[in-house]
Amino acid sequence: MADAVIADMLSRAQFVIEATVRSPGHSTVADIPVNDHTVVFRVDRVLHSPAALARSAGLDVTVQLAAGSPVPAVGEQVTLFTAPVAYGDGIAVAEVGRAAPGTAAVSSTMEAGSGARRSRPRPALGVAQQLDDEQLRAHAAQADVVVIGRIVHLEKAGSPALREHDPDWWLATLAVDHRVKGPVAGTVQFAFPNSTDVRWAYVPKPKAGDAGLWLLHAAAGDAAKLADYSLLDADDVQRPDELDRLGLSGGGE
Amino acid sequence: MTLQRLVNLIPVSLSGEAHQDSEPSLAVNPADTSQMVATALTVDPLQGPNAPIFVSSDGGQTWALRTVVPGNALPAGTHDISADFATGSGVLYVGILSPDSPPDQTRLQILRTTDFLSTATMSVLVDRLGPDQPWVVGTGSQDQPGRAADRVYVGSNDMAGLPVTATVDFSLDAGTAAPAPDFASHRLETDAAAERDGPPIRIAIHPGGTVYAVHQRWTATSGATVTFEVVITRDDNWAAGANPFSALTDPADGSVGRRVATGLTAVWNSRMGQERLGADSAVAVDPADPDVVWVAWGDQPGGVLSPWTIHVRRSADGGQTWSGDLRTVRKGKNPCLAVNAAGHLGFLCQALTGSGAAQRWETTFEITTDGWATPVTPAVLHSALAATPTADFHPYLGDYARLVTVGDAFYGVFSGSNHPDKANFPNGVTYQRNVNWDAQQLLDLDGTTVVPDSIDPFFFAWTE
Repeated sequence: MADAVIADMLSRAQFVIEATVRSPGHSTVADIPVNDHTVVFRVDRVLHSPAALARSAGLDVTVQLAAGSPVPAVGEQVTLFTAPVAYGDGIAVAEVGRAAPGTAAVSSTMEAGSGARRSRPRPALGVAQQLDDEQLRAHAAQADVVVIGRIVHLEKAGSPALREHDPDWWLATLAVDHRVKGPVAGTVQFAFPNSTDVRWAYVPKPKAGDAGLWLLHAAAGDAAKLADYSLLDADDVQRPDELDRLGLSGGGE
Repeated sequence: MTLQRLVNLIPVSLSGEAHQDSEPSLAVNPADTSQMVATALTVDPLQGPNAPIFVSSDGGQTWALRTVVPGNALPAGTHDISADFATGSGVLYVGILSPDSPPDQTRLQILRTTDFLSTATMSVLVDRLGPDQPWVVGTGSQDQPGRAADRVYVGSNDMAGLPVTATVDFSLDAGTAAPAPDFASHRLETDAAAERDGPPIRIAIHPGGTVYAVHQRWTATSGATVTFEVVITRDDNWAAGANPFSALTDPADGSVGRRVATGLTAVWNSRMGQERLGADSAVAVDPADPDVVWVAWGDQPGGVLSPWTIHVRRSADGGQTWSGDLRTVRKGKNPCLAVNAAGHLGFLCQALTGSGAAQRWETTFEITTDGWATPVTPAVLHSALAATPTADFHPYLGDYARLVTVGDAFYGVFSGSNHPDKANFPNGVTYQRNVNWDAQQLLDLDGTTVVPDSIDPFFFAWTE
């Protein structure tokens, strides 16, 4: 199966498994609709999953197969690309794609568990890594300024934040060591939300001396009153050696 | 009094999750109390396009998740969420702050499903920018031929209305089929001199049609210090008239809304045991007597250096006059009030106890039959060290918890540390997720890998 097909299925799936049919027409999760396309599979191997379900090999999972798709026979193994439906005593997912076992090559060992409180999807399929990289490159391409540099100054901006979901804007000044993209030289200032509120907690909070590859975006709304650029995405700070991965190594000075 | 059950809501299939599932809400179907829905700041573990709700079809003994709430973002799915059933119809209504919103705006969505167990994405009834902390309360009225009309009220602090922000969106027939039912948006605040209102807008409904709403009017701010009043409004006919929520006026100036307490102080976004502070509020009405109404709030009664304190007061004349403090909880948080069919008041509260590294978050529940004229010893549902686990974001436990009644029974939810130490649950607890109680460890799906402690939602049922 072509990587493009795998990538398309993966873009719509959050849980990819190699699994063996155990019981068609049944469910391991109470109170969900069951029909002849509801099938209990035994998970043989987890190929792609957030940390919380990465250790589900050996467990049963209920899969609502795509309408009109063939129902594999008991004992048959398939690779399933699925999206979440319900979690209870078991897990119920909906099929968004299917492949023969071994079609989707595994590129790395799944990492999950104890250190994964802030889990994000961890690509284990080679094509998943490619998809992740493509998304990151697309995000980087949208940045208005890309520099390697370090934080030399921080200051609070604006009035006290008296709303639960207020961003609590701060201003950071970067000393630019290497300009990759954008009309900046010497230093560049950007606004970032320093709030620990649930809405902003996952946006990076620069600290004095932090060095990295910074993806800055033209500020909008209230942030535009404070600075030309803002940092609002968890992917806006990368390691300096990620230039190649972000497709940015060709330019700059 | 008997604790029927205390259950950790995380199901066994999510034994590997370690997110901060704070700020819970609870809905119990009055027509069938085996049907329940809980919500929290919970992300879909598979990080799909929808956020989850917790569902139970056996009276809260077991819980599962349905990913049916549109929008899902790390770390918490939505940015606020609460839920309630409509009486009679069993239709579920949910209010959220959608994560899909512009950086400078909050986005309220009011959602509906006719089947709380459905796996289909909920329908969006209301979608607009500005409000904060949607608080959903539903009920029903048998005034439509052959069916109960769903009365749904959603309190929120709508910053689009500055300086009058305390708001209730309501529909008197929210269960109607497409097109979406009409929701009116009404400003509870009438004092244009107010700087704005605080986040919690709480609502209590008497089955006869009396509807109370409580908000916190900010009269002055200085830096992070807020001076505020607790204001209650009332409507005597479902808010169906031309001037809803105008039945109560203040004797001081004749303005709409009765001041329950004035000159109160809060330091916005200060901390107590990893939790943020700024606003707590609750209201409950006696289902047997619409004139008996209770209010709770949090403030710093001795000024900015004094500890956050919860107060509970009572009115027996429809909110016109008020008692003094009948109950206070020093270093309390997330007060919840509900009155059962017998007229007894249930009070759920979380409080920071101890000092230094030994500080603990303690969650207690108590019932008073006489407004605490007779002393009551609260039952400790949960007690855990306050310093662990480390907060991923705020709110740590939640800006609210929730308590409801059906008949004589009380049902509640709160969030707290899931550290599996039986001493933390002196009245017992049931975990669905994998756990080794002897080793005091949470275990992943493989039954061996240790999962770090985190904040989980807990459900309890209590009968007299």
